[in-house]
Amino acid sequence: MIKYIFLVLLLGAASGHAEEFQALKEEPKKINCSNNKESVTFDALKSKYTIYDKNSRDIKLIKCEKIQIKDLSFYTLLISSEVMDGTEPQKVLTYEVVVLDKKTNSLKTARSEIVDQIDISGDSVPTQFESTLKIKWGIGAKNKNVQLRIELSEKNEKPKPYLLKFNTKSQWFENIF
Amino acid sequence: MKNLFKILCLVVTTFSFSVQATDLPFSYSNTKSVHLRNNNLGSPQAIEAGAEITIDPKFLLEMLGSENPTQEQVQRLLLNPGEASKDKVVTQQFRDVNNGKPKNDYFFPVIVKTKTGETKAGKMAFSFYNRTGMLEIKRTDGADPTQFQSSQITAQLRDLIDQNKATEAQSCQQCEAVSNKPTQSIADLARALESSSKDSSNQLWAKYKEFTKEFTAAHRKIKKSDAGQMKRLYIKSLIDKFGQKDAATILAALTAFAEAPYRDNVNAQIAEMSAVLKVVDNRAKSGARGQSRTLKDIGLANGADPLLKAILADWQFSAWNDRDNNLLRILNYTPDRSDAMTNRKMAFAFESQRLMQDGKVEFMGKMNDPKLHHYHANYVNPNWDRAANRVTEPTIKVDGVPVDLSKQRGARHVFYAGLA
Repeated sequence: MIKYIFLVLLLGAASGHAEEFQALKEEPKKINCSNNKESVTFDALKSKYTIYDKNSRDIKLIKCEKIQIKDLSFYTLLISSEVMDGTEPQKVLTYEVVVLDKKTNSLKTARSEIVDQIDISGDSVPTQFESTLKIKWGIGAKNKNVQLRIELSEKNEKPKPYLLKFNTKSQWFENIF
Repeated sequence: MKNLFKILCLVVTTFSFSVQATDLPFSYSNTKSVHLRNNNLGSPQAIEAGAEITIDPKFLLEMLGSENPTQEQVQRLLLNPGEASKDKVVTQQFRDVNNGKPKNDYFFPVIVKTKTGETKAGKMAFSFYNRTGMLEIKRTDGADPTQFQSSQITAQLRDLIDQNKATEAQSCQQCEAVSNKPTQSIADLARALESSSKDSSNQLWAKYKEFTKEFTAAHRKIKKSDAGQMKRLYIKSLIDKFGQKDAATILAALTAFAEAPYRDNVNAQIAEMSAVLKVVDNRAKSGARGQSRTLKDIGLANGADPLLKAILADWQFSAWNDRDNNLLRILNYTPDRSDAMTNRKMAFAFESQRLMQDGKVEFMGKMNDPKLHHYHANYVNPNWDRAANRVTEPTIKVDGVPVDLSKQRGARHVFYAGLA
């Protein structure tokens, strides 16, 4: 009985999430970008963006996109880089969301998500990232905040989506629990 | 008298292991397909499903002086081929199965028995990871992990170790008293751990065990790709349930569980964990160690407890990296479904905190330096390694009994004081 109630609550919570998130029809548009070490330039934008992990090296930009939601401009990056995990170098695939602060015309990290990670300290390790990332932009049905629906999975796995909401005060995409 | 006990223990241990020698660690089944290389590391040949692979007994004889080695011998060989097996297991170059690129790895001779009874001899590359001091085996020659059940081997090995421990304990009840050389209060510790947590429901360890039961019941078998987000939920739930201060104390214990090497000796185990806890504590007291994705993601960008900040700072303690194997162990941990080794280690992580609070752990010399902020495993060479800052005598007294961490066998931590 308790298990049943728990299941009902769990399903209720899950459907609550589904109702809360309303996907946008508009998709982010691919834009040109380039980098000099950790400093990134987006398209024609003058401001430069410094990626979240400042001790990264061997940075490669895989994809850059832009989306405008209401009066907010978001840029996104898919980055391959190397970071030091305390003692051992790690090859990481990172997804970053960047928000343009119109007052200061500066670019700030609004989320930095580790999509995949390979410990490259071993003599023989896989060299290819194996994770798949799917992002859907949307808004909250109730408070109309900007939201992200993220699906992260490895091959043959069924993804378990999770939601993020943009906290305008902290200028960060926080998890919705 | 003590020597007599040791000899008896050795005999019983050897016997108990030889009984199960036919199951020696590397057997497994239900593997869809694996590759075997010949002794010249030439072209790999496929092995059909259902084949049984064992490490060559002659190899064990050569390496360890026995075809039926003790558990400790096998463990030492597997845990750290780089050090324990120096000049014995050598790195050999081969070509990756998938992309043909030349690579180096530790190759171990294996014997394959197919379902039809055919026997093949060859070599396979394994890596033996021991961040927690517990066995974890990975195939490293480019084999598809979905085609090679390394987790099965790891589980089998741990089961074997657990079984052997039980046999040893039954057969030689005084072994622990002799080999551990504990003081009275510490000798009683292991026995007291379980009962104390049952009797005192307000203890953090008891509370944490209840938490894990609830969490793992709601979230079964968390996968690597989900671990990062489940970590955020785990930490948020801990904070909501216990408050920031107690949640931080629990996370510190979990960090010690994940980072400190496993030790059979009670005092050594407490000393290893206390050393990790000391570093965590020193970092918290010295201020920020960089930003934390995790804290920002759960809405604690500002006002987080300093201990939380130190533990969850990005890339500082690997157990809290989004895709770390130790993180998976923590998220999936519950006492009811864990092996004896894991439960013991987890209990000692919390007990080490209590002993430190009670002043029963004394950090000697440089180990007591508030700038003791760094350590690494002795089998890695980080670029920040500075010999001048290395603690040469890492000694910790546990209830008055000194433990020199540099004298521990196998994998161990090297500590640094005064690094930026």
